Amino acid sequence: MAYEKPRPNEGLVSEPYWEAARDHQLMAQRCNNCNGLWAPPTAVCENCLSEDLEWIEMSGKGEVWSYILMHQLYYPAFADEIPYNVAVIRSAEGPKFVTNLVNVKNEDIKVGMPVEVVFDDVDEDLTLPKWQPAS
Amino acid sequence: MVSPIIDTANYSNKVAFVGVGTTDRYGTIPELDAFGMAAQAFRNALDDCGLEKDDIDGLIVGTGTGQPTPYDQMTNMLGLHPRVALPYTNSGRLSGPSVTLMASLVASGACNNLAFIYTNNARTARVRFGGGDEGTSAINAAYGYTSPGAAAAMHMQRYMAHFGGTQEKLGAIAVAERKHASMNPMAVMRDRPLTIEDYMNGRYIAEPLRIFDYCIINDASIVLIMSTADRAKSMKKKPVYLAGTGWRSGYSHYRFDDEWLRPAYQSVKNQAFKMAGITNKDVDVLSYYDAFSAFLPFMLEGFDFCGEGEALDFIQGGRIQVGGELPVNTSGGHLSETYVQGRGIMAENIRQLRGECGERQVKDAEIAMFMGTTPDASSYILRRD
Repeated sequence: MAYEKPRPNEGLVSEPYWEAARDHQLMAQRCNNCNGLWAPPTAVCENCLSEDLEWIEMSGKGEVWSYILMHQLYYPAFADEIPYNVAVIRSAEGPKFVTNLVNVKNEDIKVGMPVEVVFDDVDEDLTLPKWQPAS
Repeated sequence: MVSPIIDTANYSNKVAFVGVGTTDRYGTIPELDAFGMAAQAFRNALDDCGLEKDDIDGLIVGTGTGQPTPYDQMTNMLGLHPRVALPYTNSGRLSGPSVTLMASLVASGACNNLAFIYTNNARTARVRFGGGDEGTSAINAAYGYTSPGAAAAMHMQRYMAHFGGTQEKLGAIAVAERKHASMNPMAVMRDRPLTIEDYMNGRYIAEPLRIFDYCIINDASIVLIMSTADRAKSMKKKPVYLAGTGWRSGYSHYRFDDEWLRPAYQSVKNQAFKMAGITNKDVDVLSYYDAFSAFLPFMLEGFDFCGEGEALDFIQGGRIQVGGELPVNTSGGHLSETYVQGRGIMAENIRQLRGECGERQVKDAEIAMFMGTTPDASSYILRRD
């Protein structure tokens, strides 16, 4: 069955992020001028305004910064999963990632719990980084 | 991170709100289009201050949600020829800052009597929020993360985990605002009482937030007229002076600030209080931008009405209800009166200082303060003689 959930826009700035995800790598951008580390994808370092940003791989370790359970249906393709979780992960390196937690029951999710990235190959063209409780 | 407080405030106490007008009711207004609603509110605002139509030489037109109201069409439709005419965003986050803009135009002499019109026919137009690509990027939608309320819920969940606190305690806000609505004949929810049990039985939208934590969506137009303090003294109603303002942008709750935007609120508080020459204790009527109840605890702490982590306890026991120590959103606010992106709250603050609020009047109210949020933290402080 075709994957019908919303797809991220892969534009000039974010394409490398999604390419790496297809290779099961979680990436952020490091500023070669000031060493700032940024996610989600950006065109410019908000600290020093440099465009000299380099993609680097994250360790894939982090913790749940916060999470919610979505009960309201906004996107029809999520209908079968309501209530589904949405979490913000603070990666070990610092940048935060919006995601869904997998391999955990909603009622077992806790703010601060250690998590690790996993890669969900939803179809041939799209891989979504998701996170699960750390092994 | 934030720059020092500005030292001078050329408009502090030199401009005043002189007129308030609204549509004859809030709710569903299918018989008028947005321009008809605006004209009704505009007439009511002119009646309120005693000015003639042609006295209005400045006009700012909020875009509103629902039917668009371009400023040039509005100017033509009202038959005005103002010195200043501007469109303004529909974003409620910029409702507090719009007071700064109005004051700048009036105090500078760019215009004498400035009307701000904001009109929603969001209910009739069936406007929906969420389901698009809000937030930092379309990445969020891929995970089903959408709607402004979901971001507020994300922060509240983290807050409760960090400081403790329960959903039941958060419910005190929705209950207080609904109680205020019951004392406000104009409020959309005036006949819909809400107990804490009702609140806890309410369905979740983005857990931990429930439907009662969310603003309502309705049709309404609200017009606010500002003039110089000198002119205000000879108008129909007692002047409500603008004593202070504060505004810091670039603090979006979509960016997951670790401190619940405290740095932004602190900066705004320091500036607005300094400009107005007041402290927390002087505030008689408090208001906040209640797109979602969850913002109030963050703001009560950020603006130093209570200590960090104390807000959910602070709001218990009727403290934020009319008759309590610090009444908040006395009209019922966006949760229970009307959602006109901050302008209903502005109207209420003015009317409280005029003593026009009937059953919900805060006794001897002299100073009213507004707190706005994300990504534009803001405040305005009003006072009467």
